Amino acid sequence: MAEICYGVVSESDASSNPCEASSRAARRRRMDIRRCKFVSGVAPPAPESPENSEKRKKAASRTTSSASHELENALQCSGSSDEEKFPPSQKKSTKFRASSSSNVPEGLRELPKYGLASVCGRRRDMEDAVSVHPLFCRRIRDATAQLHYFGVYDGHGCSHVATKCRERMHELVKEEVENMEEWKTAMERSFVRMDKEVVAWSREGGVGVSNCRCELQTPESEAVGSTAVVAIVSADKIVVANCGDSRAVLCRDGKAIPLSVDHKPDRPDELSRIQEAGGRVIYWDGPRVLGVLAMSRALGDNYLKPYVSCDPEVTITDRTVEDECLILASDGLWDVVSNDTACGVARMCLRRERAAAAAERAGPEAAALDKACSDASMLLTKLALARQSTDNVSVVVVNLRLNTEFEACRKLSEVLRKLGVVHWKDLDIGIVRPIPRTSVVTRVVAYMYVGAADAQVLVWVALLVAYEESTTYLIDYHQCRTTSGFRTVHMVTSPSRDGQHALILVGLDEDNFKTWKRQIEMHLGMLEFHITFKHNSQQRKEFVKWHRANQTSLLIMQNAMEDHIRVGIPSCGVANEFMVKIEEKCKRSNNVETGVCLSELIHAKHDDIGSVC
Amino acid sequence: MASGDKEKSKSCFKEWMEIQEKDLSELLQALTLDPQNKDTLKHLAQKGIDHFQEYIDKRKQLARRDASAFFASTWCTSWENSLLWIAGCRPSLFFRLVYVPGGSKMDSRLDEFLQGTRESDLGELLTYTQLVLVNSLQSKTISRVEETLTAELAALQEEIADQPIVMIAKGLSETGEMNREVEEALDEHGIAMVRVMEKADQLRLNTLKELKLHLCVHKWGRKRDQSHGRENMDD
Repeated sequence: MAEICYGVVSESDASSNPCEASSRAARRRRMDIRRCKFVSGVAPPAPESPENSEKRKKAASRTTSSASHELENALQCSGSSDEEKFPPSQKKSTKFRASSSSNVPEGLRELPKYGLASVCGRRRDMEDAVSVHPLFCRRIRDATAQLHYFGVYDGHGCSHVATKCRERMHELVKEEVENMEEWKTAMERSFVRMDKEVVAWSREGGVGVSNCRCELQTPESEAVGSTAVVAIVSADKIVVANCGDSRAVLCRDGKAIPLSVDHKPDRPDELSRIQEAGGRVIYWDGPRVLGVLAMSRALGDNYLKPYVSCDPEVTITDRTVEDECLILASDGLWDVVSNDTACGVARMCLRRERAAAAAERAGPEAAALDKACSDASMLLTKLALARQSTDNVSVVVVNLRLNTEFEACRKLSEVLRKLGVVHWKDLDIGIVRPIPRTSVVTRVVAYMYVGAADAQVLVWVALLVAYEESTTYLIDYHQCRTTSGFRTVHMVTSPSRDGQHALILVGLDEDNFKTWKRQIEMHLGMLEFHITFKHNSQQRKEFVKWHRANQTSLLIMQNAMEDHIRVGIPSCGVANEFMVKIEEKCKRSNNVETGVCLSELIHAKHDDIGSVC
Repeated sequence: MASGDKEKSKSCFKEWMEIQEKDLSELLQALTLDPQNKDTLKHLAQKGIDHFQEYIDKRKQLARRDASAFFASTWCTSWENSLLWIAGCRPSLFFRLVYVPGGSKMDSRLDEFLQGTRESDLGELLTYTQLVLVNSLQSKTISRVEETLTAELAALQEEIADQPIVMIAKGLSETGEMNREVEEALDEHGIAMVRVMEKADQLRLNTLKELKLHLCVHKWGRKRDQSHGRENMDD
């Protein structure tokens, strides 16, 4: 039995709708839908136990950097933002709105992107089961939160416990989650209920179906069980409950972070738990509970209770922008493929697909990404088979990229607020409606990924997009490199109509003020912001755009310098005054710059061919 | 059972082996000369299947006269015979063979793939759809047909206790000679055995055919090489 699924995409993403009004409306609706409290805080790596997880998370949130506190504050501001904070929506721009609307059409809800592969492989019997239920439930308390369910069950003894889990587990989890106080108890309760149901069901002789090998004969069916690894993915969290030796692994920024720890009988804490319960672990082709079962927790396996427990371990992980994908798989994969390798493979599949999608704009991007997930799951399955995995192999890959324009806008607003310069009234962060629809927005998103959410890049993109509404810009990100203390941002902007002009910006550091000033002036000039420098305070009111230009110029300048320099310059509300202050500050370093040039000249040599090196 | 039948069966097998070897070398040649030419490869693969069809048709005729010869063939080594499943190789073996090629290759390509230096897909040896189809065929073949046939053979082997063996025992102890009834019972049993063998052959053939449909051609070639290799030993 094999199952292949492409996750479904929201229909408005898939259709390249020529009708502007409706697509804009749809996008706005989507934005509303995805309104979420996003905290780019630090999530702890998977801990050994849920209790630990809680502790660590507290610790992590205590030690969160001030920057991310700022972010949170900023977000809280934006979270409470409402209509009057924004000027009436201008033509050609979609406002970023964080307002909520509860009456969102069901059909527009965002579905997760995932792929799965489940094969029998070298086994004669298929005992794995996989279930995926996007939008499987909504919490009563938090109606906007959308939860997606992913589960992998690896049966042993026979397939019926795993099959039963596939049929029922998500329903039980749904019931518990809808009324829950906290995740951990909800997951634990649903696992216990599932276990009871399975045991009761097989005792009754399997009402309904029983076309399995064991035919539910009493002694045999008592020795049947299944692992279960269940992941609930919401907009801001990944909750993983695990019981047995299937595993969930998060791929974050290229690194593999296991979100569950296999329950093997020789795990020290499991070993002592079994022994305290009066059981023994006997080494018989590996460590086994009572010499029988090679895992210490499972659903079913009634005759090994209480040594084999059905309590899951639950981890709760905050999602971050660096999250790439989540891999759930049975031990058929993990026995032969390491976490890191699996992440690498999945990541490459997603990346390549993204590159392909960018190259070929015609196709709906969202759909292509689902293909990437399927490719990833299949490739991992094949890798497992190629490495002689002797078990059934089941792999689910969930794409965790926050790849929507909403997220792009949200991220931009975060960055802008973090910088503390921009107020919504001053800076209309709108997105130029791109032609073709995806070009600008997609690329903004791409910068976030490629440039590791580099604040400078984002702000530049935002400004260019926001202020050049009359022209459609294609902005190419060339390079964003952060080395120790020196930041270089290269950007090339190319207006679609009137030729090309290139912009290269060098971040201000101690000894490059001249270059920097020249570039800033050139850039501001290009944006027609040089008015801030041309007119003094008496005249400024005559210019409608002065205020906005001033703010933006300040922002641009502040961004194009290193933090430690910015701190050293007294803050100032007027751009040209600010420039003077910077100049003062850099006077001393000006000499340094001259010194550097001189020394370069002095040390330049003729290379005997005809030029200087 | 005349030894002439046995000879015929043997030569039938030998003949098929020779044909297989010829097919195999043709296939290998085609693979090295023009691996992109799907039509040729498809044609060759089809030829291989046709030859297998011819072989099982032929041996069906022979088996009607002497089935047991195929179940414990004297022309195979005892090791080969030990691997037999209803006078041939297990169809489930084919699936294992499908998963074998590319194993080592894939691992060596993995590093390149992870570094992003590799352009082509890692999974080129077996595409997504193929994997799905092969997998569903596998579960169908193994769980339904292969198990059913195994059970059928078991039943046949046990049934022999009811009629012929008891009669033989009885007859031998009482009269010291086999009577007509025993003879008839054994014949009947032989016919049943042939039926099982025919079904098994049909399953092998169908599995091959479907696998061929599911596998892309150059993949097929690889698999075929190997399954030939195995079949040479097995049959």
